[in-house]
Amino acid sequence: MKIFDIFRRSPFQAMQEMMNMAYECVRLIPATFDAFLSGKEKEVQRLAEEISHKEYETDIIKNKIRSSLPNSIFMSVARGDVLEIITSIDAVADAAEDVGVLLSFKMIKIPSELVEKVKYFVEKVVDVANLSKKVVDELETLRESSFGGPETKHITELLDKLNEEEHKTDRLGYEITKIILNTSEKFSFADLWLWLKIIQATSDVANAAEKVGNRIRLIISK
Amino acid sequence: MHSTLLILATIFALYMAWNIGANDVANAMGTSVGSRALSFKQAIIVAAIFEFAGAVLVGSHVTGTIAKGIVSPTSYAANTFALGMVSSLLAAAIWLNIASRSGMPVSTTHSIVGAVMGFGIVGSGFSSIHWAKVLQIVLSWIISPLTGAIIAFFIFSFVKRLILQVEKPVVAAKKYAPYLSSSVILILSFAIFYKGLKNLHLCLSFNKVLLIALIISAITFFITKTLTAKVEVREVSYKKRYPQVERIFKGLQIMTACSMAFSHGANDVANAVGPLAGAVFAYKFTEGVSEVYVPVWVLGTGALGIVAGLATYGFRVIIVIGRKITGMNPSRGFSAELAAATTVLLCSRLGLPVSTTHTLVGAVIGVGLARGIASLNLKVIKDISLAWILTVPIAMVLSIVIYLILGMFFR
Repeated sequence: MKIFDIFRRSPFQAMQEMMNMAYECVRLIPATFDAFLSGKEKEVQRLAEEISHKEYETDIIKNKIRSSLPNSIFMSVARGDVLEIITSIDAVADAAEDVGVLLSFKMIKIPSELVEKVKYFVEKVVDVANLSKKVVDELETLRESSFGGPETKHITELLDKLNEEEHKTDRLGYEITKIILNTSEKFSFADLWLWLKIIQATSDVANAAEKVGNRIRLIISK
Repeated sequence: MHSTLLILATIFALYMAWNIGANDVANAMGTSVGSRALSFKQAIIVAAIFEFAGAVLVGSHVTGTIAKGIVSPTSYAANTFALGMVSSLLAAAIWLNIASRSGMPVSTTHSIVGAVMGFGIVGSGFSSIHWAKVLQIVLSWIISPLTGAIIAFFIFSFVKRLILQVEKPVVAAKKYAPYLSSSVILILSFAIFYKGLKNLHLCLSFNKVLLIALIISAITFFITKTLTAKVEVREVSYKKRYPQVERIFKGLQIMTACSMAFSHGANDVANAVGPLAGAVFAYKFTEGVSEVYVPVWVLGTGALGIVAGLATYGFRVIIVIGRKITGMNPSRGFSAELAAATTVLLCSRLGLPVSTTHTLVGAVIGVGLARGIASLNLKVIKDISLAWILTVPIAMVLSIVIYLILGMFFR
């Protein structure tokens, strides 16, 4: 143990790495939906598998961060905040995996008027995840300014946009759920259940991504 | 016998100084190399020049404290005192060698103070030690890292508020850089000229020193101003602004690196040459010289030893430490070093032997408290404290043992 072992590696780089991996999971969702909507079962299986694998890699990074954050650490950001952020990033990857798995359970048909709506909804969810990835990418710059000044303004703007977009995805999710419920006679019971689950899981991706942003907002507002 | 002991003292003082150069200098230069403000080569050149200057110019105050502040030379026979000083030197040097081999963060200052106390106790009992002075020294070991931390906290908070966190940090950096550099130079030149040139038989009055220091810092102000004026303010994306700001701080950190080396030399040379000066004084006293003063050749010996240690081994330690530090950048390094160097220089002026390394670590923590550093490992503090508590008694016991063994030959 030497005197200058007092410096530890910044946890933010590892957090960025983790967020990138979680975003990789989310990015595969639209393709999975496309395959699902056009009934390509094999393709859906393959993509779901890939998402699962990336989720696992996100977990590995998460554990690495956790094990390198011993009790004795002293950081520019509270240890609790770092843990909350990585838990939320983990939730993004988990939700993305859920979507993949749910889509791969069974191929079902949906009314054609819903297809465009679902596609738009999924696209918006990916946008939300992308925004929260952008926020995480700013952490290292934020550290340079010691969490203050004009950088925080820039990030607060990003965060406001993130909240707004997440709200939009919520609305889209409700809208789709409403249509499905009002046309429930077209679905079998299993199909109906699965659809509602899928919409819920997709919304959860956006929710988790928003949570990542909100945790970071707490760090800046201190 | 008289000259044999003096020769032995000189050899051991060189050995001790070599140890300081080999290990301790790296700690003083670590933050500069870690933030890439200085390359390895530049760090070694800066260290060599400023360690030497600090040792020879300001080193006498602390040297005096170690030579006669802890144990009074007048209460011993000259030979006994010289022998005690030889043993203390050897004990401290051996302990340092063992500790740095096993990677323990010990302080050279704590070692030598412990060793001298050990001799005092075995030489003529507890009463021969100036406990008031020892208490003052030990208190300074607690106070100096705290002071370093507090000053660093405020300097970095200042840098943060006025430069890093404003709309145009590059413009702000250009505006404040001359003030920062001139205050560094003001402190440094004040330390050099105020009684520092006594060894060169140049005694200047306080007012004259103040005037000289002010003139030099004013010159620095304008030099910095013209230099930073060349930095163009481009409209860059906000992510690219910080590298520009840090480039300005790089220049500033070179100055604090010099101050750091200077104050390290000023304070830590005493750890090697204090006992040597004590031995010299003991003999001079028997010859009827009662005025205590530290000969320049004694300080020069220490300074040479430090530079030799740096050149033969210390550079490797600097490279290792410099590569390890990843969480440092020039604005942080500047704040930590300015705080540490100021604290150590102040203590040197007061004749207090403090640990440069511990003060610097305190300063780094101060920057961390101002949310300047991504993450710090506080386990190191625990290790430092443990080594801190161990060093004094171990050096004490070692010094007693060596004194008893050498006593068989020299009495």
